[in-house]
Amino acid sequence: MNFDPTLIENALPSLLYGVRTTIWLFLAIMGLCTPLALLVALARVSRVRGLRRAAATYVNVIRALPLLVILYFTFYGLPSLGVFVSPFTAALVGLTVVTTAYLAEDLRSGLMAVPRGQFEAADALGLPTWRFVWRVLVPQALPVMCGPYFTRAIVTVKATSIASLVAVSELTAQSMAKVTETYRSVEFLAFAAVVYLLLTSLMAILQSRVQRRVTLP
Amino acid sequence: MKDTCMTANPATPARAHDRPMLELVNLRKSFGNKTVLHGVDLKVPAGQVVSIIGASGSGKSTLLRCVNHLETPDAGSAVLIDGQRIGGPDPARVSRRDLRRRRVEIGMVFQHFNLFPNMTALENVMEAPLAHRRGTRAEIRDMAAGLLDRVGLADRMDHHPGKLSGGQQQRVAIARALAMTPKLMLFDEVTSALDPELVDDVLQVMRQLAEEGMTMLVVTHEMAFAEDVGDRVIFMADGAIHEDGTPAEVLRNPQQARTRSFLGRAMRAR
Repeated sequence: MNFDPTLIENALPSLLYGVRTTIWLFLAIMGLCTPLALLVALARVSRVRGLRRAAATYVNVIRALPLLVILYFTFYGLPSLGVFVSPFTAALVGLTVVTTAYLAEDLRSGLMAVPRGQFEAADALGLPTWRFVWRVLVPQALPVMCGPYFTRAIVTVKATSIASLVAVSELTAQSMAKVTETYRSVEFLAFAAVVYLLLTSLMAILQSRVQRRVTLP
Repeated sequence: MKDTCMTANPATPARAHDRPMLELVNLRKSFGNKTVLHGVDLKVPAGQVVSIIGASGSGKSTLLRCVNHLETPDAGSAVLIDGQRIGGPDPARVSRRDLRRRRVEIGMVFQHFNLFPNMTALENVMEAPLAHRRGTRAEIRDMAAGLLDRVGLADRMDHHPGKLSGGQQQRVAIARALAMTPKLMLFDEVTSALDPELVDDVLQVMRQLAEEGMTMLVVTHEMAFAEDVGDRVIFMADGAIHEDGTPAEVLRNPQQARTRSFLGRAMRAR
């Protein structure tokens, strides 16, 4: 038989370390880029032209660059500029910068779905801008944002594997290390695949839960 | 006249003639190269109910929206309320904070209600007073509940707009606009989106407001309302006021051919 589960069992501590790193990296990215992307999305629909332009420039520049190039920049480029960070931090910064740009576009579509009349009603009532944002705009955009947000989260779970290329010992890196060590690929890649599948499924379950809660009555 | 007042309206008819509640001076507005308002002048005394009629595209909604700067009037116009400007001398350069302060004195009701669907009827009415810190939460809640009671929706306070009929939503919208105790109310075709059987409830609330002495600018296709409730009717065409007078004068005995032809069409449509 080709598949030997004992290999996984023996490598479990090392593999679980990878799982933990992947989960931490993912949570840190989403924790950072969720508020940042919301701010960028709000800037993109702002009445202030300077804010709109700055946000659009950020999104368009970042979207135009390959993720790996940005990660190599934060990993190799920053130290040569005198900024020394751990591989984990380098990967976190790079992935956050990129995910924020994409997520901002996802969230913007939700903000744009709120009818003009809501803006006019808030204006006519003299609601201050931030009150309007938190009480009217965002609550109404949430049901529309929900799907794209979790899709982006799923993409991000998988994108963490790229951190293996900049020396972060996450799931893919730890699995590949075992592949190199044992010359057996199927077992470790299957393990990694199952863990990614579990994580992304968790996101899908979370999505349907959240969607129910944010749907307007 | 109702004995309880729906709003603390400071205007009394006695003051009606010494100072206009609203004065538009040479109000101009263009969208691109299309001029929508050709320098409109209008004085509205306190307590007056002005119906604005005219074909679509005549500029009546834009006129209304320029009053509270939902549309920024072009240069060379000034809007005054109770002696104070709403915008500055240059309407394009008004700080948003100043605008907010002036806007709360003007209530506006929209054709499509524009209630906040994520809030209950009561929360919709409470939102602006809470934002402007018009009292404690409990006080504002009581005030809002009182307003909803007055528009006949005491039993619908905890419903979200999605669970209310169009007529009920529009009455919530009126209550929401009244919650800031405005001096002037703007109504922009507020019954146009309603099923015919729901129109009367909304008009009844407006009639009551008029009786209480509220100054009202009403863009409407309801000729019967203009005739029964309005003190004055303005006919607009091509971005200008073509005829201005009492309902009897404008609706029953129009002087201008354009008014006659518009009224002829409007009456046939009913």
